[in-house]
Amino acid sequence: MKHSNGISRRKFLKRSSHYSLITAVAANSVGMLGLLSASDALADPGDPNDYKALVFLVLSGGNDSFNMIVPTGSGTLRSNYELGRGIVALPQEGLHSLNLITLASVHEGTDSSDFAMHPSCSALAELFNNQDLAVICNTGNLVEPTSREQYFADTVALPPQLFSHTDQERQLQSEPTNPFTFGWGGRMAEILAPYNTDAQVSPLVSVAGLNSFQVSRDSLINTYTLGNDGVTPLYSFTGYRRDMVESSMQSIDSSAHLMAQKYTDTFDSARLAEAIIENAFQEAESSGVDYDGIFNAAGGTNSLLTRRLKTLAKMIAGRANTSNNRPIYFVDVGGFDNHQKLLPDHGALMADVSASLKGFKDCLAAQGDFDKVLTLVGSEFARTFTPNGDDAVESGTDHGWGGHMMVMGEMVNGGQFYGSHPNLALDEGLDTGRGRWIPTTANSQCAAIAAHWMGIPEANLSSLFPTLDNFPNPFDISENLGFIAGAPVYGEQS
Amino acid sequence: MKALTAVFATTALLVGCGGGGASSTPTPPVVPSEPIVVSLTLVDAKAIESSNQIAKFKIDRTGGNGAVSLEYEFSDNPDITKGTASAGDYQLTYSDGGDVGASFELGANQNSRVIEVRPIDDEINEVPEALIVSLVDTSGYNLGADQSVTLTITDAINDSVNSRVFLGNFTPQAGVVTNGSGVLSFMLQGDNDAGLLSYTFSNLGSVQTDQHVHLAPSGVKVKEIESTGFLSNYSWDLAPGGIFVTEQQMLDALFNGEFFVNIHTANYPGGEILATLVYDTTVEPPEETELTDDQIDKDILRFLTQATFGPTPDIYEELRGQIDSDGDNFIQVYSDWIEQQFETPTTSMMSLVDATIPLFGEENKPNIRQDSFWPIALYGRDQLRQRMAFALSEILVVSDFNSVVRNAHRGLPNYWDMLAGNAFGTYRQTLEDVTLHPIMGVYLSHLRNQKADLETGAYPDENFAREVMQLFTFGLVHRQQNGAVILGADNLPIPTYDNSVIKQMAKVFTGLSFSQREVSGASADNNKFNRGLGVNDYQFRWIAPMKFFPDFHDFSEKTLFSDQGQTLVISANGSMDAGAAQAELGTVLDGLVAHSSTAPVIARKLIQRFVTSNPSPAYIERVANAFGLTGDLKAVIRAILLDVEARNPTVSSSTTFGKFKEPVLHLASYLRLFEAASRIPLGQSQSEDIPGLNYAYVDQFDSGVSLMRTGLANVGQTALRAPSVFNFFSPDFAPTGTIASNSLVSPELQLVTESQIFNSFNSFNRIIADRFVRKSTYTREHPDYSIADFTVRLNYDRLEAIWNSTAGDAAAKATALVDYLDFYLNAGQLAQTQNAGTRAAMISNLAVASEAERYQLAAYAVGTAPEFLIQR
Repeated sequence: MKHSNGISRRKFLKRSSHYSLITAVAANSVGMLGLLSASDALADPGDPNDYKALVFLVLSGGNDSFNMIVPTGSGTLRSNYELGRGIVALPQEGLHSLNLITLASVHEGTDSSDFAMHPSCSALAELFNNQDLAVICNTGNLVEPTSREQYFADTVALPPQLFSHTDQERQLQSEPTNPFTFGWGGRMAEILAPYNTDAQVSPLVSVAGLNSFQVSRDSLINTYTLGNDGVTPLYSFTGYRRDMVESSMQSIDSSAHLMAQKYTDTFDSARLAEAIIENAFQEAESSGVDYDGIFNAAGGTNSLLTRRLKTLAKMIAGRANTSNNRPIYFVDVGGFDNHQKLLPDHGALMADVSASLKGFKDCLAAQGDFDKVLTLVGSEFARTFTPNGDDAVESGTDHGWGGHMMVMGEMVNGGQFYGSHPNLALDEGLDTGRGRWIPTTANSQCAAIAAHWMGIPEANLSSLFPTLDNFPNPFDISENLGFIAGAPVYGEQS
Repeated sequence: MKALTAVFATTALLVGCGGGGASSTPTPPVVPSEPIVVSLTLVDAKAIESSNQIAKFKIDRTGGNGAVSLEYEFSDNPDITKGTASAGDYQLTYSDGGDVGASFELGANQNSRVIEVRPIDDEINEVPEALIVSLVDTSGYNLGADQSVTLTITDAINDSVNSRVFLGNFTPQAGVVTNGSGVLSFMLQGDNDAGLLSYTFSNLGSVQTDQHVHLAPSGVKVKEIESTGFLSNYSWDLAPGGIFVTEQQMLDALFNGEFFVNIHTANYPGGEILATLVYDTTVEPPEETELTDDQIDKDILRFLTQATFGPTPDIYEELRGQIDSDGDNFIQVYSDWIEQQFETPTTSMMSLVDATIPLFGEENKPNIRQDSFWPIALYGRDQLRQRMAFALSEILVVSDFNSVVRNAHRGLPNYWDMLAGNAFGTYRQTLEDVTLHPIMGVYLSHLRNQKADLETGAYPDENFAREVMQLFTFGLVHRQQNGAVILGADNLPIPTYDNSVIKQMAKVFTGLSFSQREVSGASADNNKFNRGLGVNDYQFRWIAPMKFFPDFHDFSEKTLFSDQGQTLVISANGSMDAGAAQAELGTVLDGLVAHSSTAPVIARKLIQRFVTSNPSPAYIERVANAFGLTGDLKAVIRAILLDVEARNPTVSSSTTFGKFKEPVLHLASYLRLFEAASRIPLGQSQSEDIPGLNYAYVDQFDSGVSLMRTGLANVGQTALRAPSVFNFFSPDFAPTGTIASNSLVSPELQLVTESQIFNSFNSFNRIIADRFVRKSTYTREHPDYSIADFTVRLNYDRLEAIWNSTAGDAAAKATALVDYLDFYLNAGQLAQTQNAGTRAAMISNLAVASEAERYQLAAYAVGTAPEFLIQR
């Protein structure tokens, strides 16, 4: 590894008393294993080929996923869809049909395989039909299994501040409880610390700013934040200027204002990671993979999401520059709060998500990493099934609850729907009003399966998701969440 | 003395010889007995209970050398209004050991003795009490001239630690109908002898005629206050008044909460509002009451950092010149400045955009709107108003990330001007203007939002209905006046609303659409509910408040949010006209703003924008009290900026007080100090080559204001461009590490990431490299101006003058430069020992840098160094 960074190794170590990542990693490597029971010892983290990465993509604002995955045919599901969605219902023509390899379970309805994707999601449908992608139906933030009767009788613990963006988004990234203390990505990094030994780059990497998902619990593993296009170098950072700034930053110690300390820590983190990440990107660029070409071919428009996923693909390609073998990536894209103009605006977003995910998949495949990267796509909530106006172009939908997640990667048992799809009947069953469906699967259950694939032993999953024990074991066959090949299966098919 | 004795001895001998030898054994001479004279002298007059400070006096005698007992007595304070110490207040002991008994004892050959008065800390609130000790004349001795001493025993010394704070809220007197409100504090000094009374009030129904302190419940007047109007540190000696004859009675009444101040007005000669002085043990008084010159200087800079877009030498001098030599009136000077700012004409962003557009033909007009923020922030004379507009824009958020909002290049600045116009009005009116502004209408989608249509299954849009509660007023959970969450019977926070309330609230905001539209270049009434969202050059529809179209408004009954057991219910309306819908809106907005959780929520958010990320509950409560039921923003900004917590000078060494400067404010204060400008004057031409803009309202700006076609500076934040209605950062953001683990928040640090730090460094590099300019076709190919004319540059003249005029070597000159920048951008905090590192790094590098690089280097440092990013 080359560390052509201005901060020397010796100086770095000297400063480690307030450079929290180092102390955290050091503490973890000796202390964290104690949290694991003997039977759940982590696999040998020393194997450089044992690399896995999780990418959590959040569609921020509340994705109207019931127009992303749409029932087709002539059954009750389709008629309920048309009745409930009214003017924002998508006609069957133009949808991209999905070839489900097993029937989708429908809550209080007839199992069905008549589903299609949004007209702008041809690439996504292709991924699904190639079994690179799966859908988890009607998941959402839940504290415990919840019925309509319990909801209206107020006899069940509900996620605090249901239907509020910030709260539900934070709960998607942590747990549906207050107060917030850590995100499941941050907690996961603590337990996976033996895999992530790089002293200069955090295993928690965000390409979308600071977030709740990557907040650690016990130690201070900070999130490293990449720019949308990777690392921008510091311009004209030489001579007196550099000497002055570095001396100034170095003078900040524990007697300084806490906010100045945090600023300095983040600057240090940027400087420490700069050269390594630059090398990673250079390696990616020289790998022969034509990132721009692949994303363009997938229909990418150089959107924010395309740029961010391209950056992540390159980070993963250059992974040999760090010794982190369980990195946890966060990316989000906004604009999904379609209170108005749902059909045009959500359509544009669907096109962007579809093309960007396809480009990401194709780049990972070209790098030979598609089997090592699990991509989980979620949103804080879906939207009301009923629209909020009677103009097909201008109307939108409001904040809902349960919606569909997606998972992508070679380890995914793709081409299938998991969980249970609502029967889309209003004022009964799962409806809490206007088609805000009560989730039939908890977000925590889905995330637990992804975390397990990353290496969190089953016994430790509730350390990431304290409410997980309120639900049936996510690996129980009754939960219908077997979307990861080789994951444990409990119980017998009824 | 020895020589004299010898002479006497000789004389005696001579007498003896001259006596003819009649007696063979001489008798000792009879020494005449000298009278014993005793006196008392004061050594240390003050005994203080809390600090166990001992008072002392001394007994002396002349004459005699035998043991003697001196009788003494105590007497009452001759001033009957004042206190007299009683036996339980002290103990008398000899400094050489032993208790004093019924008399003062002097031993044989002991000519003086010190007696100590040891105060007994009885924890009773007492006025200063006199202990008057007198010697009693008896036959055994004579009394000297000094036969009496007066000592005082007080509860505590007069320092800030021992001050007690009494707080009060002005509320209507019985039977009075008024919106008047206000806040009061009385700081009782440690010895309980006097205190400082301060208060402000507002919204009286008629002119004030008088103000007094009264005794409850009788209403007897105990103190006439000579002036009318607000009081700031008015000294009240607690002299007995009304029914009281002693100071102790006054003090007891004070602690018993029996005193109230009332404000008499023309309409209510008997008093319109009153505030009871209630002892509040939770409030800590300001650390110091006397500030040094240095502390005054720093506080002026701190104040200006809080209240403006950045201190400049001119505005500093303006305030400094008004402060007395003893510094006592500094709060009054700030208060006066705030009042002046209230009256300063409002600079208009829309007007500036309108005036700039003709220069740039077909340019994308939103760019012109984005640029227009800077001349106003940097040079507008209405600094406090514009700071408040910026703060409000971070609570009542709209964002040009929304394409319609962005393209409404007149509508969006009109929204800003609306906030600025309301900056010193009420939050209630602001919220109404926000609700009805078409820019908010399109941003939170209640524009053209209509009642439910059961046939099509369409429901009213819930977006604005939710955020007006969650973000614009009372928030998610019920709170106390100090911001603390109120817990329910289940020990959980009590939500302020549920989804059914949102559904009902959504009905309130149905039926709103444009009131105006453009017809042949003029503004005309709009009568079509579904009028399109066009953004043409005129934008008349975007600059007039929306109106109700009753056919689209839901007039059914609405059961809304609850507060303190009262649920707001809007009954179904029979008249079903626009006036009824407007009245309904008014009632709902009244309820939203008057909700008991709104004041603390908005108070905290505003304190965070101006002063500190982590205000104490008491600070929140004081500002919430000022907010009142309608959100009196003048009272709020006074309360925020003049609060003891904002003005506490000791926070300059705090590791937690204050806030991380948000990028817009950091950049603005930087550009203000460096007098950043292009060559194109906003007013008249300064040279023949470069025509000025001849902007009609240039007088509302400081001199030197110029057209600032900067383009977006990538510092992590652009005014009116938050990523969502949740603003640039959450008021509760707590970065991982010591900040979170200390239960503190730092909202602005949500913007500080590795990538953003590099981007910000590069932006400062661009600014100092004279590349701070919007490089569009319209600036590159402009017929009148070159790109060099447009470029916004820093002015280093002051730095150069400091360098040249400072005596000594390069290090001395560099030190002067650093101290100047530190003084204005950092309230002089760098000069403190704990910040020696950055200071030394700056000085050593500036001392050796070439002249060409020197000032740029200084500018780069203050843009990036950690200390300059913290506002304490």
